[in-house]
Amino acid sequence: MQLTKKNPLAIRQALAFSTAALLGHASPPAHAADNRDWEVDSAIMFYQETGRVSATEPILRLRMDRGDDHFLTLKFVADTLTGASPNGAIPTSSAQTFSGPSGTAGYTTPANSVPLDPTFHDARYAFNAEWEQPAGSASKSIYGVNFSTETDYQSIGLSATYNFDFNQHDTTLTTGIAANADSVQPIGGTPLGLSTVVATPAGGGKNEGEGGGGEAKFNINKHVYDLLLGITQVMSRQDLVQFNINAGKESGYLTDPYKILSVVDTNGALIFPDPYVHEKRPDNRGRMAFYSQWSHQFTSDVLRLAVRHYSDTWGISSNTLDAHYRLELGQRQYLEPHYRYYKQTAADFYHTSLRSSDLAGLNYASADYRLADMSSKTLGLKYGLLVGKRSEVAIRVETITQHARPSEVIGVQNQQILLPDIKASIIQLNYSTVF
Amino acid sequence: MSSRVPRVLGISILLGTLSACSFQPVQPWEHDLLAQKKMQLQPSAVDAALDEHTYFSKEASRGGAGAGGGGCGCN
Amino acid sequence: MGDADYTLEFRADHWVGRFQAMASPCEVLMDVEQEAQARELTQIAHAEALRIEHKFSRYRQDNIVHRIHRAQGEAVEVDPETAALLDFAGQCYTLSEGLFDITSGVLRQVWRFDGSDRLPTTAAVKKILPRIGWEKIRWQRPRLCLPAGMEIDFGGIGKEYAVDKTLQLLRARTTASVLVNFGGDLVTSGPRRHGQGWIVGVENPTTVVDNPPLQSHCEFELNQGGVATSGDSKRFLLKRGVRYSHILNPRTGWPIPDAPRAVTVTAATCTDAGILATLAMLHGKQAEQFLQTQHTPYWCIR
Repeated sequence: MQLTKKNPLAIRQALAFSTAALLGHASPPAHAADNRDWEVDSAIMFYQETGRVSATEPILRLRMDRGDDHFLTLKFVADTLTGASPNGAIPTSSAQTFSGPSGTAGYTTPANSVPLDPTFHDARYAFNAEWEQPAGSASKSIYGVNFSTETDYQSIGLSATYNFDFNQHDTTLTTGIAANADSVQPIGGTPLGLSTVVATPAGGGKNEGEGGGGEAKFNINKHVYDLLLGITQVMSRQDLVQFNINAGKESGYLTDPYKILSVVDTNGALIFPDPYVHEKRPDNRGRMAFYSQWSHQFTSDVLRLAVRHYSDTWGISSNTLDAHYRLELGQRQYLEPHYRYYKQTAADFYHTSLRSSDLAGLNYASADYRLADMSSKTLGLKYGLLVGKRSEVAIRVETITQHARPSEVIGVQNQQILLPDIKASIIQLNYSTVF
Repeated sequence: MSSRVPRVLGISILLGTLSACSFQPVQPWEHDLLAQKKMQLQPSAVDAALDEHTYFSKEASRGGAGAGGGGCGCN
Repeated sequence: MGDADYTLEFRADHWVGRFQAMASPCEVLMDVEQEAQARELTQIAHAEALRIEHKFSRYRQDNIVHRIHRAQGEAVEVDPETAALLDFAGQCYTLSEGLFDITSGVLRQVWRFDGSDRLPTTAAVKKILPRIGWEKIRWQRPRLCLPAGMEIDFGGIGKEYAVDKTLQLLRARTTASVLVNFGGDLVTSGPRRHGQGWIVGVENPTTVVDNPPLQSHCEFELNQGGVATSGDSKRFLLKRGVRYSHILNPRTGWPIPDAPRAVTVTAATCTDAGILATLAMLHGKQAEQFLQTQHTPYWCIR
């Protein structure tokens, strides 16, 4: 058709002048939605665990309106980790020496200290794209792809979500599926689960795979599948509730190749000469999460409450409470306190340390504190300021305290704090705008 | 057989309760407050993404609020 | 229809005035507290809607449109408002390269869009064509010369114009946010007191036919400007599985093939939105392509 051959945008502009003349306006009125919106959300998070890892994590999210209810969302995240992370061994009354992953520089942990692997640093880059489009008259579909890469870990994933509205948009049913294929290349090869960690002198250069029975596999896979069913219901002008069921399945290499366990005698002391074994987790995990959320608007403040119950086939079950209260300070500022409480039971195969007599009968074992009986508490505060008509800056400060309980304290271990609390602080700056 | 009676009764009572509490539909013009960003399920997508990653790397549980999300070797 | 033919209702935090005009249900949403003020604004809107309907309806015997049609080729001097509409119609004709033509209304004599399969004959359509064409009109403000047998029809712009005109009048009376909605073509003066816009539902013609009450295709928030819909929800012909849209090509006299069922467009004014929606329909298969180039939010239902 002829119209599109000329400068097509000129039609709307010319029309605006004609209409202004028709309606007796001096000039065409400004059109707020003149161009379709680009939403930009960005943040940088600084995360610091007292005496342990610190991370810097910038994130950028762009949501582009492509017209006719089609949206493209792109998300970029970078995550730089430095510092020390627990290797799984227990603190003892004398200094302990560990080899680094397969021949890299080892390290020594002083007496009465939690062994931390100081070589722990990595950078992760993740990219995510989502395409949203209407599907039929009252529904929409969202398709997503994501990639992420680290030195020893890559992940690629696909997702699809379908939302169906009814009851005059008061009710939305959501179904979603996601699949991720991850690959791990443990530095120096994949250790054989529950095999002895071969001692190398600090700074030594011997491949533990040789004597310790480590498998020299350099690329191993992990698959993650998720299924989500949800319903979102508008309860009133001020209330919105959501209820989700999320089932997941993970299979493949789910072990942490760098984590070890201490092997002890009946008195709780490290055995000699090889006191450490590599951890080993089952190669399957089924999980289920029930999530519900309620948002309520008071006169202008908003309370957002979420609870989650989670359980998996590793014996972990957890409950989470997450509460945000957005307190409006006039029209342009707000304060948002945040409280989160999380409590989990230990995995069936979690052992703070292993008795040497039990070792032979075990299929799986891990001393990763994240699989222990554990609770964590978050307190946070966010301050937001609207800048101009469509921009916002915000600062968020949070502290997270984690308290884990040992599965068992054997003999002399009662002289140690096996799992000291972990304290982390977060400072985050946000900027978002629309153009 | 007698044990089946209460179960059927239970289901019908449950259904009855559900229909009894079926609320008045909220009219489209009443969606004004819900359209505000602060009333969205996730008012800040970047906060949600950062939180999800942080807790994924520090705790054993995951999922619930949504399906998918990028893999990470951190846990 | 008297002045009492409107209703007022308070909904949570705003007033809604309702009346019937231009063969459509009309409503005015007012972000005000006082009933007296809401009543006054509704009366103004109602009166303006009726005024424009009376003045530009082609069914009346006592208005300017009737005078122009009765003149049989003689020049008619028109008032400034009619002149502005004629200027505007001429500009739309030029902008659309002849696709938007207010003289194409005579095609109604052979096309009756009643959902049936009664298509006109090719000969009947051909016979009408000489009586169509804005270029055959002599228009020099304030005098219009319409050849005998031709007609002009403000139906394609009248309702949207009335919406914008009504908003102008209301704006002169209040700074509060108001939304004027005449049968789905609407405009708002600006954001509401709490900073949000009005929530507007886009109707899906396929569900409207079967299920009239409020089945909206989607909802969005309107902070400013106008929204208009062009569609053939009830006005179409169906023969041998081919749907003939009521959007006619004034050059051929036949419906535009592959036109969307409905196009909803937002723009700075309701009038702009209405013209853009109609132009999109006139682009048939390329409707979405055309809308993409206009950089304004739209919904296209096929």
